[in-house]
Formats: sequence, structure tokens, C-alpha cells
Amino acid sequence: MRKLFLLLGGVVLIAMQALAQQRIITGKVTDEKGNPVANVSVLVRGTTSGTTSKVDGTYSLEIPANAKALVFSSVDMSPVEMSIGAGNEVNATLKNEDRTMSEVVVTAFGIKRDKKTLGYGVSQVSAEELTRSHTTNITNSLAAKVPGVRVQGSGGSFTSSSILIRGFTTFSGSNQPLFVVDGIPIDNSGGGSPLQAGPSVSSRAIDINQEDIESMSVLKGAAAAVLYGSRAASGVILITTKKGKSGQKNSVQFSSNYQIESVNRTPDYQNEYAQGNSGVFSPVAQTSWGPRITGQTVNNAYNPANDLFDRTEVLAAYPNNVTDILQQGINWQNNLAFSGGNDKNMFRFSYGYLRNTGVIAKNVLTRHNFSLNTSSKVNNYLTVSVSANYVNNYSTRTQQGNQLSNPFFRGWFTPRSYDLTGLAFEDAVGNQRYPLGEDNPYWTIKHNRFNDEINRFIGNVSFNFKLTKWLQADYKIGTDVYSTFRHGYDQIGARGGANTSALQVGGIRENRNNYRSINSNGYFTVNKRYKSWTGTAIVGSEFQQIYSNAAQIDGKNIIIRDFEQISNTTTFSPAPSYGSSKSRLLGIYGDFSIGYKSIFNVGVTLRNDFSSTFKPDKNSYLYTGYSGSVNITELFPGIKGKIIENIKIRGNYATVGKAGNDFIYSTDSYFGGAGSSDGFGPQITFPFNGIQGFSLSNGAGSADLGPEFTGNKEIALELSLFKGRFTIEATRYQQKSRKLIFGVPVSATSGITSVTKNAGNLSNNGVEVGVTATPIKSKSFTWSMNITYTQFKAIVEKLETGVSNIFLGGFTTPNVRLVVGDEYGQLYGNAYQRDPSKGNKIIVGANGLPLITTGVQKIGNPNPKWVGGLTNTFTYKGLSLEVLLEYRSGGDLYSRNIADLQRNGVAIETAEFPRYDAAGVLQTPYLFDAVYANGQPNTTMVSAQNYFGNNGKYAAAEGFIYKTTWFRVREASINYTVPSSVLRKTPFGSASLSVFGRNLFLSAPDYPHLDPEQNALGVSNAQGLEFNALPQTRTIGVGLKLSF
Amino acid sequence: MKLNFFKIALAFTGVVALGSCKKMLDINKDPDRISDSNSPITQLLTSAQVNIGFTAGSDLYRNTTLIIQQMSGGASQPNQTYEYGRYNITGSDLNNLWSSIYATTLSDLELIIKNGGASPHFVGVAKILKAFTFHQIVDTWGDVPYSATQQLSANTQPAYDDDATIYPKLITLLAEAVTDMNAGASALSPGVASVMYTNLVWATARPFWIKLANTLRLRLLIHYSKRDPAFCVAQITALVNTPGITFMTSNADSYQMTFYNIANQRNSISAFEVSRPNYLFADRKMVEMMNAKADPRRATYFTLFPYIDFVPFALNTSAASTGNTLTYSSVTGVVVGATVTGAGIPPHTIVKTIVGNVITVNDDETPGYALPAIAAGTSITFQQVYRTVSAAKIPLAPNNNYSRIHTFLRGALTTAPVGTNSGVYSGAALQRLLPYAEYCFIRAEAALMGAPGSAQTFFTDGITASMTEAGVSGPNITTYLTANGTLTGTNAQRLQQIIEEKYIALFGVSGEPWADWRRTGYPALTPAVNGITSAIPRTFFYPQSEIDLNPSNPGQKAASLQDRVFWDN
Repeated sequence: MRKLFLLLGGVVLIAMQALAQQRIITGKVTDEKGNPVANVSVLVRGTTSGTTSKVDGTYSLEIPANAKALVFSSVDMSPVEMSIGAGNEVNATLKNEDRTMSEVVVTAFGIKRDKKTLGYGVSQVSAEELTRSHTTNITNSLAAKVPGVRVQGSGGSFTSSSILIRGFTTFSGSNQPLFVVDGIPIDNSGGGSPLQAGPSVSSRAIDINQEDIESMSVLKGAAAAVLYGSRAASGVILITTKKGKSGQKNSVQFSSNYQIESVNRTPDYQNEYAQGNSGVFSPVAQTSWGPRITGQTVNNAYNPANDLFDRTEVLAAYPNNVTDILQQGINWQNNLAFSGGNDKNMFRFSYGYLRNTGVIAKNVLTRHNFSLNTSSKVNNYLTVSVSANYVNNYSTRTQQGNQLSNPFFRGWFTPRSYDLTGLAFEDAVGNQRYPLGEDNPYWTIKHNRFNDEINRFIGNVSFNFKLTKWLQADYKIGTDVYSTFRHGYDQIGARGGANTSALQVGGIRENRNNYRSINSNGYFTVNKRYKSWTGTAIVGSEFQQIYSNAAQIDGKNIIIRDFEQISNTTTFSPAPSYGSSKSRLLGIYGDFSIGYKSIFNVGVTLRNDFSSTFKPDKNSYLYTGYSGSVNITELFPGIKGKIIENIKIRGNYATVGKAGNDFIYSTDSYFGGAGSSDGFGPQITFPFNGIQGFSLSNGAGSADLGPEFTGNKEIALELSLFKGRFTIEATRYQQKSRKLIFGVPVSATSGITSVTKNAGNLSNNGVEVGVTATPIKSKSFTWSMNITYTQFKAIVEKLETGVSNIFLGGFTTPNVRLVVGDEYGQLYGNAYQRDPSKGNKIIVGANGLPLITTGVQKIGNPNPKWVGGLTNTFTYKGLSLEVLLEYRSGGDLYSRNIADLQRNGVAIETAEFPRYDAAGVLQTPYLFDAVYANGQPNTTMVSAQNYFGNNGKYAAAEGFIYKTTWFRVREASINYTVPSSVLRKTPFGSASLSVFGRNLFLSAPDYPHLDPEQNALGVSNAQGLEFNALPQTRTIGVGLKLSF
Repeated sequence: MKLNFFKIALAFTGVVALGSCKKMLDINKDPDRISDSNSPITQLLTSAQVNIGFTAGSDLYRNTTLIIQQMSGGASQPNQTYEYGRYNITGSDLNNLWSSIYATTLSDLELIIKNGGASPHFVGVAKILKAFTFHQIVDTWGDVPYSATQQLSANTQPAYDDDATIYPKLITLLAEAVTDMNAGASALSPGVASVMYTNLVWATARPFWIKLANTLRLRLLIHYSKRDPAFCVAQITALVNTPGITFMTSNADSYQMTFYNIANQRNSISAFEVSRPNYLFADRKMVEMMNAKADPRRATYFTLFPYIDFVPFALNTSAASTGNTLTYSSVTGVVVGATVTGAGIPPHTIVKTIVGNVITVNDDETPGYALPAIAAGTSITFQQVYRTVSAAKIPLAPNNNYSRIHTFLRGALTTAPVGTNSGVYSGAALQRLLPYAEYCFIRAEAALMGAPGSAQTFFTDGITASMTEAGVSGPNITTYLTANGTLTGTNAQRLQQIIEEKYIALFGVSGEPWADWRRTGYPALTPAVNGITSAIPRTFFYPQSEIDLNPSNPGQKAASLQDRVFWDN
């Protein structure tokens, strides 16, 4: 792709050429067989002047007097450099390129390696692939594009997304990969969603501007990631940003993308029955089990004008009363970049502006990205590069989670006959006007506010010393510094928890967080060739320090409405809190590989980490990786032919030790603030009558805490057929994570209730397959495909004796837990009692309604069986069409939303049968397929309200487990590149237009009403719960790209 | 030039790699918390004391007051208190109690004892509190871990001790405590920061603590009365004859904790009433014992029902009764819930509904309740009573129309009750842990068995102390004593009098009335009709967490809950 641009650039540059010429060179370009090759780019080395060869392979080019050589390059052919002699003729012979030979990928520390010689899996995603649908959070752009990587959004357009590279490697710590930007690890924390209060916030990868990304490499498995050490146990995402290029003409690039965003799926509602209960209209009922709407007049309807029930109204359904809350979101991204360079200095500066308004009012994100990359060749030995990125990210958000201030907590099931859009929701002062128990959706959107602002700097300085031809030294020091300021305002009269759980009296929360990491990395690289042998060695050391502090204050009892200052409150409860933490990590590493021709390659990687999060006698730990690859086709050249181009087998075994910050300060025990409470609500908080108390924390640390280890064995086959038009890369791996750290519960009689220990084991087996195919390829038309397949299964092998499970998140029922012998993160909840002697049928009581288990049991598995992606790309001259299809097989989700739609009688299926006959007699059309306690078949028919209601289907969490199997058109784009012939007379070097979309089509046959891509707990390890979250969206946009 | 850069680069990586690596990495101490090598004994004592005070009104209190029929969870099934009242207290229900006692209260006390060597005054107080806490654990579960506990991560599966061997250790511990507290030098002493005997300098507080240590020894010794009466009498005799020994002498010496009318600083019994209204009501057993003696403490112990200010009055019916309805010419003043009394009307008859001038009456506990025939013109009285739930009679339908805990355990009434809503209380109530009245009853019982002192005098003192505490006026105390204050009959009858008075006096004291019942069988209790066991529990299940996590556990108790602690044999 890059070559295509070079070529294009070449074409354009001829037109722009305006230099005084000294001399004209002519010549002919041929292939190995002597046939002329057209459209070959011919450039003067180190400059931007050039031309292309004609159909007969000839070219003619004016060159400056100081020109030394010409560079010939073409798609699918290896570039050739020819020096310019005294004569005026320079001919060149281009070889057909062995595609797999030259596929260069970025590996650890940004080292570019020939993929053919790698013993481990690295997948690279180009900028074009990433920015196809211009998502706000870069993580979403990875969905279905890389085999072995599973991306799961949590709803809304700028919240968070979980990325899992090859599944799970730890229990209670983070399973999210390490993000490295230009060699500096950056923070991607955040993105957890609160269950009971506050909004859902972004994971910090959102601060990255995709338009600044040149490429993204995904390092999968321990062998690929081992050089990054402790933080890389869950894989690494390496981001290389765009830079100025040597010899590139100074240019300006501008791009603008405008998208509209809408909710892709909304519930199907019934509009036949009114607000009420048991067929009787009630203006205060939460439910829509009221009378059939026949145009009757009802008394005592709610009157917002006086907050009384003194109105009469003609009963009517308001089919759009819920969807009216939603709006169309806008996502506008503008980017401006200047770049250029000569032999010595290169630069790129860019400014990006993004504004994303959500599908619910008051959800707005504004982001400014400034980025500067420069590189200077100081002399023949030293190159100094500087990279600086500044991000300002400001957003406002609405409430989320299981709380009455979430506009969609009950908003989704607003009574069908309540005119939510038309009736006032507040009086002149701003007092809430709503007859139901929760916050009116419009009122909470308007009044329960939240905003956060992030100011972030990511930068580095790097020195590259070319000491000899075969030895170079690199040193890089970088930092990631950010501060966040979060501010929540809960209006007087808020009925839900909102930000501060002030309950009616109003509250303000301010939260400030500072994060600073410093990373210093120096290493030597040796590249030696001896006859057919090549050897590379990297030896170096890395140091990292992470410091953060956070302060939070909650003020309650707002004095003056809407004055959002903490001093506008009278009580500060809980007491203001402050906390800080600092950790350091030192790593010494070596990476050695040796190869013979292209036939085989073996590598050994060692890294010894010293982590401050362990005691001095435990803080040093060594781990190693071994990898090897054999190129069968090079070994037996005879099998190479028309069909087989290349066969490579690679395998590796590697271990990564993990320290991380998840268990910082867990080597000691501490005293915490005292307190008393029981399970019924009463509690004592300190200071008690002005007297402070401390108590030894019930969670003890252990001095012998050490790193977690994840070992990975993998074997892969890489196949290239039909001259590279069909390739397969299939990998099978086994991962074993051991010594996993968690708080192991112990007998309270010891004086503590848990000890943080290395106690658990986890295994993970998976397969990932990537296929590329180019079924049609002609001069003007190409059809290519890219298929990814990701499958893994993580099993909890061991917890400590006496520990039957670990709670990952959720409620008493349902919740997500780790259970020995079962897959990671299973859903537990109460279930229907069943009769095993009667085919496991549900047991009902005499009333025909199901009996419920008293305890919780396994009710679902949120892990999909596999996920796959298929990208089809069609290009016809300057026009290209790309479509990414995504399929996800299985994976359960508990949907509280669907549960609520049904039990409150608003879902369309609750009116499938008439609830009452013409005479108004209650109908009982439903029958649970069940038996009575005595084993006799259930014959007790029940009404819709009983069937779907609190004592019916809703009574057990089991009833709302849905398979999320989906097929979706994840992304599609049409891109038109304006031909250079058109641009010749304009100031533009290049121009392209695109139309694109995301989530254009969804089919989720087992999941009704909503998009199943949801997770109430955001990026946390607990997946599989949906709790009235922000809905998923579909975007459609247009884009323009110009350079001049 | 290039060499310089090279050197700098080397220096950067080299220093980091080889330099003061150890020091650089030794930063794993949380700057925001106190590490365990630095025990803040003053604050630990506060934590332990507050937890003792809180726990005394929490799970253990509720469970025992329910099974001993002072309170009832009767009406509101399927609430937890309803289940506890029928002895359905599972192991899982006790996890929180067990861990807060062992991992918070005892853990903090042990740290004071271990690390407070230079401050014997602190150690002494901690030992009293440890003995107090442990005897409650033993009285509840019998064999429990004692010797091997509190070693933190060094031993996470402590062995169990025979309960009979723990008691002597606690008595010794109390003797040591007195010696420690009498030490001349102590780096730190619990002063005004103690939340028990609070706001006193150590010199003033010390005598109280010493009296407590000695009085607590009496409580432990009296528990031996059933197993070994001779030992019990001999030990108590020896103790009270010890020269210089001091015991509690007035209500001012009572061991109790003060709570405040501030959010999250309220008495836990009162706080429970707020967070869980309709979980606890007056039990008929205790109220009928008090009714029989027209006990004036009822006025502060329980609310009348209905709650509103209501003067009893009588009305003449205007028509003969039909079904369960009474008809009047006017029902002004009658409220739903009022108790209806009159010739032939069954007890516990209350007003259910008032429609126009017709009153429906019923009794929630009697299936097919029917009014006898009442002629027109009959005078019927409407009044407030201490309306109770009976363990022997389960209400037919859940309802909340009963008397509740009043100011004695909840503090001052700050908002008067309205309708069927009980009032708002300050929550600034004492949590009584070992009141002076209990000392008097222990001495009365001991004297009855032959120990020094006059049983009658101590009996009178105990009732007087309890009445005074409950706000009863002097003349009313005298009236009560005149009617009920004389020990008469056989020793068994006298013992019954003492223990039944103690049962009333220890309203709100966690666990002790249950221990007295197990020792003496008084007051005589009828097991709950809907109980899941046929007899009243004599122990509790071990917490489920302990069964799961401690292999040293001897195994779960028998489902009958009739396993006995050592002094109950």
C-alpha cells in the first residue's frame, strides 16, 4: 500500500516539478525476462523529482547536476537503485518481488524485522485499515481485523472497549494489553463502569488520534512480547506514529470526516396497553399492565403544572416516548498536518480536532491533539529524534448503571401512555416533575451533570548512534504525563445515586488525578553477516517509574441551585480522600537470533526484571523465550512452483513474568480507617465523636509475593500460494498462567480475612487464523479478501484450597465469577427449580409460576466460541470499496434491559395475545413448559402479567440469559482518489473522498430488542452483564483528504 | 562528539542497571497508610471499643434476643428476623459476625497486647476487652480457636481449643489486666480518647476499669453454677473476700458505651430500627411477664400501639354486632389498631377498619376469628396496649401493628409518632454491656448458693438499679418493690425470681439472658411453634466461612442446635 502511495506521489510530483534542470537521463525498465515494465516510478535518490516509465518501459527524466543515483520502484517488484554514471542512459531490471520475503513488520522496540524470519506472531494493521470508519476510540477500530484479538465495546460512542489478545492471563488484575507509542509505554487505564453511580468513562487509549498513526503492530503471545517484560503479559499494541520522511517534499495534508451517529437498535414496544396494573389505569404505576387503550378518558392523570393528579386525559399510546429521548449524534474530525524532510532533517506536525456528540443529549467529547515529530541526522553517526504529543480531552456525560438517575435505568420502559416528550419535567425553579419513582430522563440528563477533562503529554527524545556498520546504540527517554479533573453535579431533588449519592439534597464531586510515567530505554543492536549466516543481537536495559496521585471530595446539600462550586455545599461526606502510589521497574534484556539464508532462524530472548512491587529478595526474576522458524520452500526449493510460493513453520516457547501495578503495596499489611457495619445497614464511621480509630486491614499482604508467570507455547504455519495471492497464517497456542495473585480468603480466627498471594493457575488454548486472498487482480480492478478467525478458551485451573470461587463483579444475582475447572468469568445467578426426573423441566407452584432456587448457580458463559472477520476490498482505478463483516459465535449476556421491558409490559411480545377479551375478562394464554412439584405436567395457564412479571419469568436471572451470536457489517467504506490528471492544474498533490459507515447492519437472531454488544462493567474482567447501558450506535459519514 | 553521546547513553543505562538498584526499588511502602510495624495503640483501642459497642447491638444481640423471646421478628415473613426467630440462623448468616469479632475486634486488641509492652495501662484495658469478647464467643459456639489465633498470615488455620480450657484463661487474663492497669509507669495510658468510660483522664478512669475487670470475673464464675456449683460458690467467695478488691457499686460504674445523635454514630439497635423498620417487635413472653407485674419499665422499653397519643375511652354500640363489625353513632377518636376490650371480647382484638360509623375488628393470629354476639348499647373500650407477637402464635398475614423498641434502647424521641409510623429517635442511646444491675443479680444468685452477702439486698439493689436506669421514679420503684421485691419460697423459686428480674433488667444486653436461661431454665420458654428445631437452640452453627476455610474446625454442629457449651452440661 505504501508503495502505491509512493508511486502516486511520483506521478504527482512530475507535475509539480519546477526546478531548473541540468541534464536529461533516458533509459528502459525491464523485468527479469527482458519484458518492458510500465508505470515504474523513477526517482532521483534523496529528492522528490521523478517520473514513471511508459508502456514500452522507457522513461526520460531531467536531473539536477548533483544527482548520484536513481531509484526504480513498482508495485510487486523489488526496488532497484542504479547509480548515474557519466552517460545519459540508465537502464534497470526489476525483479518480481517475493512478497513474503519483504513483508517488514514492526516488532518490539520498534525494530523492523522481515516477517519471514520471525519465530512468533506479529500482526500489523495499517493506518488505512484502522481509520476506515474513523471511530473515536482507537480500540474499537481493531475489531475483527486481527486474528487472536477480541474487541468488545460497552455501549455508547466514547466509553470504553475491552481488548483481549489471546484471552486471559490473570484473575483480578488487568487483562488489557500494554500500549506502546513510539517506544514509550502509555497508560490505557480507566474505562471501568460504575454499577451503582456515576457515568461510564473512557479508557485512556481514547487520547490517541488515529490520524497520527502510521501503523499498529499487535504482538501476540509471550515470545513476541517478552522484551517488554512485566507489563506485556497480556500482549502489546505497538503504535508507530507518522513521521516526516527523508526526501519527502514539504507538504500539507488535510482531512475532514463528518459522521452522523444514531442508535442502531431500539426496543420493539407494544402500544396497545396503558400505564397501570392488572388492567387498571394508574398514573403512578411504573408498569404498562393497564387497560387496553381505546380512547377512553381517565381521571387523576398526572399534572406537572402542580405536581398533583388532577388532570383528565384521553388515554393514548406514545409510540416514540422513549426513542424521542435519543438524538442524532455528530462526529466531526478534522486533521491538519505539515510534513517534510531532506537528507538531514525530517518533521511532521499535526493538529487534530474531534467533536463527538452522543445519541443522548449532554454527551459530548471534544478532543484536541497536537503532535510533533522531528528527526535530525546530526552527523554520520548520530540521529536525534523528538516526539511530542499534547492532548486535551474534554467531555460531558450522563449517568449510567443500576441507579435511578440513569436516564435509561427505567427510561427504556416508560409507561406506553405517558407523554414523556410532551409533559413538562420541571417547574419554573427546576424542581423535578415526574409521578414515577426515578428521575425523569429529561430531567436527569439536564440536571445531573458530569464532565471530565484530561490534559496529557506523551513525548520522547531518542538518540540513535551508528557506531559501526554492524553495531548501533539506541537510547530513548520518554514520558506519559496526564492530569484528569472530573466534576459531577447532582441537582437538588435527584432521586437516584447520580454522582454523589446525595439523595435529594444535591451534591458535587470533584476528583483530580495525576499520572506520570517515565521510561528510559537504552540498547545496543548488532547486525552481523557472515557468508550465508546472519546474526542479530540486542542487549539493553529499561527503566520505568510510574507515579500517580488522586484526590476526591464530595460535598452534599447544595445551597444555591446550579452553582457548581464545592463551597456551595454544607457537608463533606465521605471525608475528602487522597492517595498516591509509585512503582519502579528495571529490566535488563538480551535478544539474540541467528539465521541461515532464509532457511531457518532461531532466537533466544532473556529478560530479567527488578520490580519495586516485591520485597528485595523476590524482586528479581528472569524469564526467557525461544523461537525458531524453518522455511520449507527455501529448504527444498524444488517444491516451489506455480502453486506453492512459500511455506514456513514457526514455533516458540516463552514465559513472561508479570509484576504490574495491580498489586502494588501488597507485600505488607496496613492499618486502615476503622469502622463497623453489619449486613443490615447500621454502621459506624470514624472519627467517632471526634476520636479517630485505626484497625489492621483484614486483607493482609505477603512478603513472599512474587511475579505472575504466563508461559506460551505456539506453533504456526505460514503458507503463501499463487504468488502470494493466497496466504494463510494459522497459529495454535497453549498458554499457562501460574502464580496468579489474588486475595485468598482465610479463616478470620487468624486475625485477617484474606492474604494476597500467588495462588491461582489459568490455562488458555487457542487458535488464530489469518487468510488473505486476491481472487481478481488486473491492471484496473482488484478484489482482495482478508479473513480473521479468533478462538480461545481459558480455564481456571486452580484457586486456593477452600476457595470455591472468586467474585469478579456484579450483584448477588446475577454476578460474574471464576470457578475452578470452568471457563473464565462465568455468569452466576438464581435459577428456576428443575425436576431432573422430568427432563429437567421447570417446577411451578400451584399458581403455575416457576419456583426459584434459593442460592445462585451457573446460568451462562459470556465467552464467545469464536469471532471472525472478513474484509472484502474492491478497487477499480481510483475507486475502492471495502466492507468488513464480523461474526461472533455464542457468548451469553444477561440482559436486565430485556428483563425490564418484559416485566413492565412494554415489550411487544407482552401484547402478543390479547390481555383481556371484549368483555374485559383477563386472559391466561401462557403456560410454562413445566411440571408441578409432584411431577405432574403443569396445566395452570397464566396471564401475560403473571408470565412476564416479577413472580414469573423475571423471578430468576436465568430467564434473561441470551446468546449474543451476531453477524454485523462492522465497517464499510467507499473511497475515491481523484486521478492525478485532474489534479495537475490544481494546487493539490492528492485528493480523495470517502463515504463510510460503522455497524451498518446487525443480525443477532437470539437477542431481541437491542444490540448485544454491551457490558455493564466496561473493560473489567467481568463480562456478560448488561444493565440499562448506553445503546450502541451506527455511524455514517463522509470524508475528504487533501494534500498540497 | 559521538563518543560523548555514547558515554551519556551508556551512563544512563549503566547507572540504572548497575547502580543503587536496591535502594531505588525499595519503595514498596504505601505512603498513605500506616504499616503494621507501627501499631497506633491509641487508635486501635478506639477501633476495638467501637466494634465491641456496635456488635453488642448487632447480629449476636438480635439472634439471642429473638430466641430468648424478648423481641420477635414474627410478623413480616420472609424477613431474616422472622427466620432467626424460628431458629433458622444458618452458618452463612454468621460469617460477618465471626469475622468482625476475630479479624477486627480481637485482632486490634491482640496488637495492643503484643506491641503495647511499654504501655501496660493500654495492655490491661485490652485484656479486659479480650476476655469480654472471648467469653461471648465461647458462650455462643463452645469450642473455638483461642491459643493459636491472631498470628495473622503465620497461621491461617488456627486450631480449636476446648471451651472448658478457655474460661480459666480468661479469668487469669482479667487478673493480669488489673495488675497491668495498676502499673506505676506506662508510656501511654488510655485517656479521654477512650470511648468507654469516656472523657475521663486515666487516673479517674482506672477505678472503673478495675471494677469492670473484677465484675466480669464474677460473670464468668456464675456461668459455672450449673456445671460445678461448689466451684462457682468457692471461687466467688474467694474473689469477694479478696482484700482491696473493688466491684461496681452504682449505675455510674456500669460498663456501657455512649452513642451520639450523629449520622453513622448511633446505637446499632436503634440504627437497625431505622434501616430495617418492621423487623423487630415486642415479644409477648417478655411483655406479659412485665404486664403481670405492671412493670413501669414498659414505658421506656416499648411503645404502645397505636403509637399516637391516645387516651383510652369507651363507646356504646348503636346496634347489635353482626359478624365482626360493631356499629356506632359516631366513632370519633377511634383509630385503626386500637385494642378493643369489653365483656366477652377475645383478647388481642383490634380495630381493623373504620368505614363510616362501622368498625371491623379482628385478630391476626386467630383463624376464623369471630366476635361473640354483642347487644346494642354495650360499652366497648378502645385503648392502646403493648401489642406483641407471640412465638406460640404466628400471625396469619404479615403486618406491622405491634409495639416496638422505645427510648431505653433508642435514645430520646425527637419526632413524635404519626399514624402507624413510629417516631424518630435520636439514637444517642447507651449500649449496655455489663450494667451494675447485672452485678447485683449475680451477687444475689451467688448469695442464694452460699456465697457472702444477702440475696435479698442484692435482689432489691438490682431491681432498683434497673428501674432507675429505665427512668422510673422513686415512688414507682417503691411500689414495684413492695409488690414484687421480696424473695420468697424455695431456693428454686427465689432463683426464678432473681433470673426473671435479671431477664427484664438486661433488656438490650447481648447474650447474657440466653446464657442465664441455659444455666437456670428461667424464664421458662415455649419453643416457637414454627421453629425449624423442636427445642430452643443452645448453640449456634459455626459460620460457613469457618467450615470452608479452616480444616481445624471440628465440623458443623448438629442440626438440632442442642450441642451444649461446657458450662451448660
